[in-house]
Amino acid sequence: MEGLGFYGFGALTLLGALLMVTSRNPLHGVLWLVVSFLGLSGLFGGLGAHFLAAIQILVYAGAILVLFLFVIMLLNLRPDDVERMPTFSLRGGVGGFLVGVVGFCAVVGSVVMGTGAFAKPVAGLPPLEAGAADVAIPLFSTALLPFEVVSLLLLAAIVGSVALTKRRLP
Amino acid sequence: MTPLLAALPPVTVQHYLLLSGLLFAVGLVGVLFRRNIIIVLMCLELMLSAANLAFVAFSRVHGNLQGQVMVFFSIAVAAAEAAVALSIIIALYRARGGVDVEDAAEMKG
Amino acid sequence: MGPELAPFAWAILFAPLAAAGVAGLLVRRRRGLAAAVAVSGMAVGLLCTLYLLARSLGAGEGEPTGFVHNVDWIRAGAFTARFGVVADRLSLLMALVVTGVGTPIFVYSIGYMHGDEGYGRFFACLSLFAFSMLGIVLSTNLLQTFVFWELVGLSSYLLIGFWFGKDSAVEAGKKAFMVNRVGDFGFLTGIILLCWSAASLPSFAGRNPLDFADLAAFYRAGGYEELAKASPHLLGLPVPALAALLVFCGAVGKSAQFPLHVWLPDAMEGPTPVSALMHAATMVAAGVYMICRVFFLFEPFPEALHAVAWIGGLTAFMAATIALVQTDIKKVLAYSTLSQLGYMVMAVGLAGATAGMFHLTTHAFFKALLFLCSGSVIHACHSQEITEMGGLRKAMPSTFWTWIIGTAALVAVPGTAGFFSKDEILAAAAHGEHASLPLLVVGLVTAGLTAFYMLRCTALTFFGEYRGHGHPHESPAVMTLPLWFLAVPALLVGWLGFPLLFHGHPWFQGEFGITGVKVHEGPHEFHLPLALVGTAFAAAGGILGWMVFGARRIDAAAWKERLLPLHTLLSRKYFLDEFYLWLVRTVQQGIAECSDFFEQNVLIRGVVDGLSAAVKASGRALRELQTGSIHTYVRFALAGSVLVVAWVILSAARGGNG
Repeated sequence: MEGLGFYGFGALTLLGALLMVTSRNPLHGVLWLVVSFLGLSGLFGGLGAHFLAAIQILVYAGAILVLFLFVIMLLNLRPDDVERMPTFSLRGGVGGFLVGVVGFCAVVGSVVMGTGAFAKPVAGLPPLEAGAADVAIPLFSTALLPFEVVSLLLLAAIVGSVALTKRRLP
Repeated sequence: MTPLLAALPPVTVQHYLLLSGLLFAVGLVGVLFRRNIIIVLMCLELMLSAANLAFVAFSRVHGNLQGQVMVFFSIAVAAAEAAVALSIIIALYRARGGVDVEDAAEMKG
Repeated sequence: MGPELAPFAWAILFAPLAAAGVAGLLVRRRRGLAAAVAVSGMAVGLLCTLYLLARSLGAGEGEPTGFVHNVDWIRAGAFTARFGVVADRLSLLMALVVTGVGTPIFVYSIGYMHGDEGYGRFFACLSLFAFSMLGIVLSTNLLQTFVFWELVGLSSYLLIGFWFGKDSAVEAGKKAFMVNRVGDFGFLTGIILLCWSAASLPSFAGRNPLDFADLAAFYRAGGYEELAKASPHLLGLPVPALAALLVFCGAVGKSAQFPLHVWLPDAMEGPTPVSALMHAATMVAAGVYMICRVFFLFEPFPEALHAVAWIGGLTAFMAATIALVQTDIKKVLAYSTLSQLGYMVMAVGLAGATAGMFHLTTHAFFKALLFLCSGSVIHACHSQEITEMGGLRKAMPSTFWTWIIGTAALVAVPGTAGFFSKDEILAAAAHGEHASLPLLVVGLVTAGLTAFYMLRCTALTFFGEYRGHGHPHESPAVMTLPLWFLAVPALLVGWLGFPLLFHGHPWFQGEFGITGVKVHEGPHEFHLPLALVGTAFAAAGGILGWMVFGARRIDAAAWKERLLPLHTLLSRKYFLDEFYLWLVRTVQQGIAECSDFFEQNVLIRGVVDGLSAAVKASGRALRELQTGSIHTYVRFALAGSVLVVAWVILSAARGGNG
């Protein structure tokens, strides 16, 4: 069951990512990214991070990507624009292939080098309870200051967004 | 289907890290070679998520929730980043009438 | 005699300064008062000098004949500069010359400058000069000397260019100032070299390297050998000898020795009392006085003394020959002054401080007298050309007779002041420690030339028929009285040094300066044969001069034709002015233009423009990196992170292996 979850959600995530990167229409791209994030949420669940799995769906897939959709709608791209949407060039394709190969090799290399606990099956690790209440304890104790700082960051982002998109009055 | 799964090696944390790396590489390729700025931004989100996956995997290995707290923050920062970046995209679109990153090349020396 | 008399010495110094301040700042409009203040400032100085000199000469056996009084002036860490007064026989004698010649000249100026617009300014400047000059005389250390040295240069500049409406006066002032800069540069370099090398010696510890008394004591204890050993030879000379010669450079400038003598004849553009006081009697003698004061620097180094003597001899001879053909009465006297200054310097080089100071003293009186006489003549004739004078002996009897006395002293007629001092110089050249036959010949020939040009000048000015305009008349008493006042010492001051007369109490022998002027033991001998030979040379020159210009037995014009190249050479002053002009206009200008060319083409076009072109080119090359494309920047960022990750992994792997 463990293996089924990983391979299934992993394939879903990777597939969504690849289709997002290669999609010509950004609207399709957002939808493929939603698919990818749903898979990622499943992987989080597989690792026992249930709270984060929920957050991933609610905040990422639910809020942030909906924001993307809003923006794309707001820009009101006509079919012409969609057709003219820039996509890969030959150079880009070759470069992307090289970067992908190099990145893949690096990752595989690092995994092969990994030893110890990394090589143990996840199922064999001691259980880790990570529900909302469990995550809340460190979040509101040791990480209280960063938590508050993040709230300030969000406020700054709100103000910044408003300032950036506000139309200048003539 | 079950025999096929049974034939595969058991899932380790390394598998998660491998997947995280692949996602990161896919996102990076998108950032490097896509010209549609909206796609580029989505690729950035993908890279962030790939990093989040690695965090969660480490958290699992070490039995420590700090990694998940970090992911929580990471998601919050990603939300802020997305908001500001989308505002910039809107401003850029208004100024240029397009969403091609190559259009915004005023910094050319 | 001790430091309890210091207030008198300070009074000598500061009375003229107070007079300068009062005359220059307070009473510029009340001319008579300004003059009176200046004269009384000088008179106070004279009285104090006489009192101190009397105390010094009256000092009993074993009693000091002088004192030094210092106050700290500048203190900076280990460095201390003092400011003080020294009152020994050397400085008091010089102060006597300055104040004793200065006072009658100040009085004379009342008449001579009468009606001049800058009357108050004149007396202020003159008093300032007196202050500066007395500052040199009474100085206790090299720094103080240098400061007053420059002050004297300033007052000289102010007074040469006194009539600043006249271009030639302005030019002459500038020339004097600039030529003196050359000498002063050497002087300052010498001071620095000396102090720097002395102060670095451990055995010098506890002394002040600027102080005359400390330096002299150090030298007397054999310190110059240590100095010579401690530092490497520079320019082939031991450092102390080089320092002495550099200090001598200052004297060469101020005392107008060859090759820096060119400013003195031009300085005659100033009012005649200025010429008499500064450019004949006192300021130009400051160089000689200064060498005497620091004679201990030269004493251990015969080569330095030889250089000094030869510079002096050369100047004496060269200036005397130029004086033969001058037609301006002041120029004749100016070259005569140069010649006599050369004599003094030669005397210092040959026989030491006493002979030089003796001649300085006698010369100051008779040359000041001659200048004042010439001033009187100029005042009467409104011309300085002796070709426009003549027959003045009847119109101006006082001037004539005092002139004759001055001439007699200059020509060294036996019994007059110049006779004794000149004899001592010749004796030193003949029999002295550093006797030198060539210099003796130079001295004798110069004596003959001196008699020739003085007789020529006298004959053309006072005998024959008057060739000028108007009717010359005798000057007022305020001008003639100082002439007589100076005529007395011009006749008699030499007897003070006459060995046979003041045998038991010689002024110019025995202990002379408390700051280390060593004097040979015993009274100077009087050399009758040498005196006769010297007199014979002078008589020959004088008779020849009289034959040509007085009795007109020899046709001057014909001889001039015959010796035309020589005459041209002399009347153009050996073309030295032309040479200096060439030096400045061609050589210096050429160097400047070469440097300019180098700067413009190599430094600016090559280095500066090259640098900027390189920067531009590299900038142009590097701007290609700035594509403005986000993708490029991301690629660079990626490459950077790959490098960092690679480095981390590699160093981790190496650390793991190690």
